[in-house]
Amino acid sequence: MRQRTLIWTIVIGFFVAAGLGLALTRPRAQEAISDTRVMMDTSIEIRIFGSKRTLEAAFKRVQELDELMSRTRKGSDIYKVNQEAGRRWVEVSADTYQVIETALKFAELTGGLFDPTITPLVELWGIGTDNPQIPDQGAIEKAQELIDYRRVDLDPKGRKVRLAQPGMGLDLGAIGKGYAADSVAQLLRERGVKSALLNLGGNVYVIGGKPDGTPWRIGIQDPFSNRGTHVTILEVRDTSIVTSGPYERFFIRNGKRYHHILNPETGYPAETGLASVSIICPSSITGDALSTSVFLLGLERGLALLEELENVEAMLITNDRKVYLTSGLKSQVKSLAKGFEFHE
Amino acid sequence: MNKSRYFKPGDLIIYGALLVIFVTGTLIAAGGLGEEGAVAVITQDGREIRRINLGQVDESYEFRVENAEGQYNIIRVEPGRIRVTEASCPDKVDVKQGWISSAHQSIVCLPNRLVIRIEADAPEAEDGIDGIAF
Repeated sequence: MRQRTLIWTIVIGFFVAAGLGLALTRPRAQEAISDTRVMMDTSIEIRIFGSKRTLEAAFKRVQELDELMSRTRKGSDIYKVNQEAGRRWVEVSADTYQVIETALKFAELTGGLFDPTITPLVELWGIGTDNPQIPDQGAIEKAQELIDYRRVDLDPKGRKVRLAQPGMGLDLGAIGKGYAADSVAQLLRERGVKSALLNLGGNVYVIGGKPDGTPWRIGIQDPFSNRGTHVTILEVRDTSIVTSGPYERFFIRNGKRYHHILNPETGYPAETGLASVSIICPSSITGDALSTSVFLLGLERGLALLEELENVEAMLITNDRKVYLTSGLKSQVKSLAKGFEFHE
Repeated sequence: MNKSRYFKPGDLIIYGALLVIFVTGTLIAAGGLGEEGAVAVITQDGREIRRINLGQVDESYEFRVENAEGQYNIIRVEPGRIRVTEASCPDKVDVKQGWISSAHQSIVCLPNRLVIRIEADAPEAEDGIDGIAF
């Protein structure tokens, strides 16, 4: 009978539709799209559970911020402010203004150890460029005279910035990636992304957990080993993890390592006995600024500063491979890689 | 009742075709098809220059990539994995990093603006790490 045929067709048709439906929806629901690009003078990885269009928008945001805040890129806000040092006020974007304000806040918090006007020293050493050098003492002292965060004038109404003296210069390298991570995360959330992982040159930011409901598993770089080797793994959701250490950018001269985290008081790379500082907190700009600040402050003063802050956890590793944790992390970090031990 | 009422020759073709579609769809859904192993994508200055299916590599080989300034990286490919063995960059971060093979892993040579990354549909890393803060 024709009707039987029809029933069979409907039944089989249902299964076909179900099968096709499964095939089409599964990859969308569970597979990430990601890309890694060289931007902001570093590698930028963005992995989202979302559309290709959203991914492109995220990279575009990073590009925009780089164009505003790069010290070396002609025409950027920071380039202009530095060019006009000692002369004119320069109007900057809302993004740049906010980052400068935050940087100055941390300069105050650390008594000027973290100082966004470090540019003269950065340029003198040239770490990360093709021609790094150990400057002579006279040049270091001359550069140090030009470093003073209190001589950055701000005009909030006109969103203008001025440096008091020619030769001064802003460098937002210690905080810009953190701001970019926060900004991209905001963009992704506004576009409805529920799960994402950002890695901006080592600054990790995660949105939500993984789509299967489990937390993200983020390794903390072993400061004594090659890239990708971890000391421990943290299971996290909706947070930023920023690590600072001397192992990322450096040069070696006469058997000694000179790294990129410069201490404005000594004029030399900071030697505080710390091998790395990781900050875990919801705001990546805070994490970025704090990881450098704590590295510069050293173990004791760094821990003291961290004690005062809320919603901030940290993991400090010393050169003798001792691991210090803030109280909120102690329950989370159970094991360490071989050769490391917890400080009691 | 006659069997031929349900299975006329013409109907059989339709049933058969529908069944094939159903089975194929289910297989794709289960991940049985479309699994081709890790794909490594190599980009230079943001442009894709090479794409290698590491699952289909039978014999190891090496090749050299050079950028406009004459800076180079030598890349080694083995079944299922890829690494940089030699580079003109001063820091050699890429060489020291060693092999990558799992989804989302990447090797970046900043000075030469070279990125090697493993695409998302590759097998996940054995240690279950999604990313590393460095």
